[in-house]
Amino acid sequence: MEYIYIGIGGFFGAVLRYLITIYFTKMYHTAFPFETFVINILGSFLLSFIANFTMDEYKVNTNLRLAITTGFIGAFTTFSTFSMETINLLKAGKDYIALSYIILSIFGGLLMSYLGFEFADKTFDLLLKEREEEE
Amino acid sequence: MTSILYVGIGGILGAILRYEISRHIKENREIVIPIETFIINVLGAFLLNFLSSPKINVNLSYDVKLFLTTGFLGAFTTYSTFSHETVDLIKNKKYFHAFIYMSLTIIFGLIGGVLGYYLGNYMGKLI
Repeated sequence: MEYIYIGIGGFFGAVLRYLITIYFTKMYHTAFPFETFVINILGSFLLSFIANFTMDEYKVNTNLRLAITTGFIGAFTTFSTFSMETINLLKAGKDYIALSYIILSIFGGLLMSYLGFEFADKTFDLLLKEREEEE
Repeated sequence: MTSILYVGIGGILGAILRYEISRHIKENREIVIPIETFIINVLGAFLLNFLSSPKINVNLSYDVKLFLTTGFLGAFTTYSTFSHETVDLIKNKKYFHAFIYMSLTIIFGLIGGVLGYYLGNYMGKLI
């Protein structure tokens, strides 16, 4: 049954990535693949935030969580395009841009994922405090 | 409008296949490194570069390309899980595993991609 949820998430994740990419490539012509870079680091933040936030007491429906994390964010971000773009840059002799794309994607992804973890912890504590005050 | 459907349906299948493969490998995995995401990403990078290599690319229609590349392979592979798992390893003080996972994913993602590209060119000559 979880297939339906993951499938729906995957549909919207892939379509949103497609729309952002065509919009961006129509508007800007840069050698550095900014659109994939932004999509991947934004997705890294969101995945770590949601995965960490829904882990503990804040029980979220499992199917809904799968739809958002594995489905939507998993399909929104992409590794295969990252690999292809890097290879295309190398083939075009744009070695420095390829190298900076790799390095920025790695550290940008790690930093954003780390911030997602931290931000989830902070938000979670805040919500717990609010709940205690209400009681 | 139809292009959105091609991408979307590819996305449905890619996301579900990723979930199935990663679930099966994860259940039987005994090592710390998330090998399921590694295999999915390297395989996807290989296939995308194969399909995008010039001689294969010209034989595919625009809609089929959108379905297979942007939709299916784009959704099958994932970057967010890669970042998330690496940070998770670092947070658990498994620095060595995190470093190995990160390095292997990037290096084999590129090697797999180059192999896919050359295989595509080679097979294109045979067609």
